[in-house]
Amino acid sequence: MNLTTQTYKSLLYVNSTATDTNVLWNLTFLFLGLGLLYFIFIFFFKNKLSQKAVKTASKRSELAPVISNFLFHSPKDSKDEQKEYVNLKIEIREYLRDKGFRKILAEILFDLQKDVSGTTEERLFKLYRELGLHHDAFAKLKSWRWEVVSKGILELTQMQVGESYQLITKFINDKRGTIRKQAEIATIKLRHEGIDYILDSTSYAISEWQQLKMIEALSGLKDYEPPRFKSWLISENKDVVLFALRLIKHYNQNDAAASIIELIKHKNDQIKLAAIQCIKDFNFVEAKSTLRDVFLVCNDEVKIQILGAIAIFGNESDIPFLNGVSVKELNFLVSSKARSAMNSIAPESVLPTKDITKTKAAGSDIEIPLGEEKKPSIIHSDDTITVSISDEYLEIETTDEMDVFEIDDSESDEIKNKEIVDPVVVVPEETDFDFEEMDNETVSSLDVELGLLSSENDDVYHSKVNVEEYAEMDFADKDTYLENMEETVDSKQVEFLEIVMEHEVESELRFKAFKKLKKLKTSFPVKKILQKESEETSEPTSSIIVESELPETKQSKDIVIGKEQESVFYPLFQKAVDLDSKLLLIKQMESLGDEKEIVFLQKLLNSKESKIVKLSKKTVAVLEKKLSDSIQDIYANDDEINLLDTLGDDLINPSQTFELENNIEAPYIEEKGEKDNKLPLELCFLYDEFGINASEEKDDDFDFELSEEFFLNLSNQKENHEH
Amino acid sequence: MRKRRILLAEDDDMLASLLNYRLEKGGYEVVLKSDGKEVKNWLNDSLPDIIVSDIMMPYFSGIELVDYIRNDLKSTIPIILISSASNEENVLSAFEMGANDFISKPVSPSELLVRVSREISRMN
Repeated sequence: MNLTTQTYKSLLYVNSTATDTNVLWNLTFLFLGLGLLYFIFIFFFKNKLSQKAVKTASKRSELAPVISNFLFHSPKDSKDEQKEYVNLKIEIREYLRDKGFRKILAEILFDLQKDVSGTTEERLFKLYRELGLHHDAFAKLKSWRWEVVSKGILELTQMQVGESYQLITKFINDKRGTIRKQAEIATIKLRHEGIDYILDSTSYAISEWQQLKMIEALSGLKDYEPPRFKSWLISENKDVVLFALRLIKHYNQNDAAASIIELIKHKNDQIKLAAIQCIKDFNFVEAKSTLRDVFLVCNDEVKIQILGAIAIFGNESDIPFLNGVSVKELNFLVSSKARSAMNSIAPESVLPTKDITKTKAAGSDIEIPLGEEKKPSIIHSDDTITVSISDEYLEIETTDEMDVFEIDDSESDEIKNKEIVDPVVVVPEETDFDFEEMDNETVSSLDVELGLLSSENDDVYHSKVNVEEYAEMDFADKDTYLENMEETVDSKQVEFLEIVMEHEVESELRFKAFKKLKKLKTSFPVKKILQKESEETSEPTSSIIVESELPETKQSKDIVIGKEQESVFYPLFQKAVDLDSKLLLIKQMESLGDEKEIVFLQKLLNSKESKIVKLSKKTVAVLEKKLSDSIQDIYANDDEINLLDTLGDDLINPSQTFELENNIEAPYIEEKGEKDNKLPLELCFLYDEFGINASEEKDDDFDFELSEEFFLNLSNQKENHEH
Repeated sequence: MRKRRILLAEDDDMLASLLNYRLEKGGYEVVLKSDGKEVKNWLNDSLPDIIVSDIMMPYFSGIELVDYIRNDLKSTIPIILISSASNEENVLSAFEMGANDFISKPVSPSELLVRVSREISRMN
């Protein structure tokens, strides 16, 4: 009661429901008691442990001279010493019956083993066995506790108990990692052939740290003659292969060239790296081709190592490969390593360009006009290397995006089409290798081999660049730009022109782009044919190029006909199963076909079906006549249509072209005005050829056609200008 | 003939005992000390013929001991240091201070005996 009063008096602000305070006090006493017990327990065990330590220390100090006596006893000692030795032996045998004593004795011997060497150490090992302490360690091996087993293995290894070898090797494939690792080290330390056993039998992974520890253990063996580790390069355990490679490198066993080179192709990157390291160390020059072969399928780290190896034992013949890598490789570190390798093989063949200040050399003799491909060049000189380029080129070249280098423009088209961001490669005269030796085939094969940028990508990039430039121009500049394109016209501009045609707001510019595009589409195939003709003798192609025997006039436009597969009827014809449907298709070609169908029909002339042959012949004749008539219609109005745009430049007299261009617009528009808003004939053909369908239905919102007013205005402007 | 007196300074009891036994068996009188303070105090009263000391000792390291003997006591008694193999820097600085020889752990007691006798013969 008194306690209750005290509780609630001292805690005035406690407003919880009143509980039995006796319980609270009881709990308090309980916890105080438990705390006291805890401290008593601690003091008791601490004292016990201290006493044990003191006891052990005294026993150790007692045993120390005994052990010293045993260790340094010699038969040549005096009689008194001999007597003392015998007495000690008897005494110690008595003590050895005590397990604790044996434990202390073993601990003393283990401690001493760490501090002594030479004959004393050997005597220590002998004493350990003579005292029978190794039996305790054997017993530990049978324990189910991993730490006891591990300690047993360690003791037997420390005391070099050779008899334990067989017992310890059983733990090589133990599922408990710590025991396994301890057993591996013990196996190596106990017998010289221990490493052979491990490499032969281990089925578990060997960590890198463990490998290092094993190599260290091997290094500590006296008079050790390592086996030929190449025998384990064929192991199914990849860690064994890796370890064998490291051992081969460690012991300089350079008699496994073939196996090591083969391992460069291994799926495992670590093995690849170790193999490359061996190749570098042993200078296996014969590995070069394999290194190049696997380069593509390797990751960046391995690629860098491969390039490092090539840098060591490469020669001038490797420079094309390295150049290809430096140009095409997307990873900067790899491309940089490739350039570094090139410099290792041919010193100073690649010069620094990053953050190099622009300087205009007095002899800027290479002019790269705007619109032309800004191509790099290599200038060979005797002692000095001069790279002269135009200002425009320099502007682009010194972008901070990446290291800017350049390659010879005499190289393949592939390399030509690369952007300016490619590195500058300067080949000194004294180098035997000449970049001009790198022909198209080499470069294209390199491209394929490296799997890097394709020319298609380059084209896309070009057109993007053009579009970006173009978009920023005003009307006059755009007009000039499109005009100037005539000088540099090539296939790469097709995409650009198509984009302009699609997105240009000004219809006049759109029309101009359209004209250029038409010119491109007509002139490019002619070039292609010429190229094909030169290749025809060596390599048959599936494509058919028909040169119709048209007179040497503007009709040659129609000479160029693509493959028969280009015909829309081709797949339909392939799918047609019966003769009737095939004949029906051929019939349809009469009304719908054009030059593509002519090619296809000419192919059909070889058919076994006489009906098909007959109808094809007829259809070809009809189509040829139709196309011929169409062209004649065009040229009948050649005063108003610039037919130059539809023909190859080489097929027409330039002077005539000039006249035609000057007189083209006005009469055309006059006549056009009389044709009830019909499209100009030229546009009809052009649209037809490019597959553009003119909108037939009038749409008030969207009208993509050139209006009549546009042509009238254009005509008036022209007349005013002339006046 | 008077036995040569060796001051053995080693903090590891077992190794000290072992070396003590071996040196005594080799015909030397050994004074065993387990830390630097004890060594310093003992040296204030008497000087041994040769000192064998571990580099790593409590209170007073082997290098400090060499420095004390050479600079404070102005003594030229031979000093052999025992060091672990990784203590190269300490060994070099000990030699700079004036140590005569060193032996690395694990120690071969027989080797130590040979080195001690060599230093004593040099001294003579």
